[in-house]
Amino acid sequence: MADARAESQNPAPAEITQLLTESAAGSAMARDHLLRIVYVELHAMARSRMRDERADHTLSATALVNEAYMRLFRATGEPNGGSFLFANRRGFFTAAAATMRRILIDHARARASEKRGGDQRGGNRRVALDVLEAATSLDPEEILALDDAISRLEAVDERAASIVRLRFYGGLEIAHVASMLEVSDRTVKRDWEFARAWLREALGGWDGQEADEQDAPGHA
Amino acid sequence: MSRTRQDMPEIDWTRAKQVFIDVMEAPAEQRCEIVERTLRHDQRLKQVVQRLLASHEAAADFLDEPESAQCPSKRSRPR
Repeated sequence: MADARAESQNPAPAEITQLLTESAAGSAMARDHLLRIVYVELHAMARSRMRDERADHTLSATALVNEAYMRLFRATGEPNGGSFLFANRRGFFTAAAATMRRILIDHARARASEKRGGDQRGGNRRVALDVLEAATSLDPEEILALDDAISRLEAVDERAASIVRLRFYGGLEIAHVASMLEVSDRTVKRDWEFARAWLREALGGWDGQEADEQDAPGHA
Repeated sequence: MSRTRQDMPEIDWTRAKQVFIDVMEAPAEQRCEIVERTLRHDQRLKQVVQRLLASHEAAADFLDEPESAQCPSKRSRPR
């Protein structure tokens, strides 16, 4: 992928926006250029995600990207659809992150059910949320549990949930997320901290640890 | 038991988040007091925020120096 990487070095959001606009207006050249950028971008996403996925070699970064690429552009490329779905860069990256998410979730589900078929590993369902930043490893079960928690977070704080998705599934940096959502870095950081704390709690991250002996509020 | 804590109704998450952020941005030694003071009339929300803060601290250790002490109120509630 070194060649693909060299082709487009970190395109500026403005460039992507421009290409999206031109592409939407029917420029084939802009569209081709965009495709290459997307490929590189997704590959970077895939690599950052593969660091989080347990390296069991059942899913390579390249395979992931290729699959993401196909899905993404099958969605946008319908000639008779007429309209370019990604009206803006936010839409674009959100779609890319969502694509990555779908692939990872499908993959995690498959592996989780394999596992259930094999050994009954009731084990540790706690998700180490730190992998969101410091890449270590996640079990398929953990990915699914986390994804579920992120969905619940959405009801609590929609923007925070979006930020988690973009960072976790999209592998985007704070600054990148901020420019995408058109908010300050500070806002993203705050939301991110809140989301992490919330998710950790939602996943029972402190069960059996130093959970306060006080009543857990409102548990059913 | 399949229900989770987040099913709890009527938590004002907007307020919880705001207090959480205010506290996070305050000097470490003032945090417990700010929670106590700000939410003294809402024990439940206070607990929610305290849990979030504890969760945050537990997570933060991996990324950073732990920068704040645990609230004494978690062990033995003052007052």
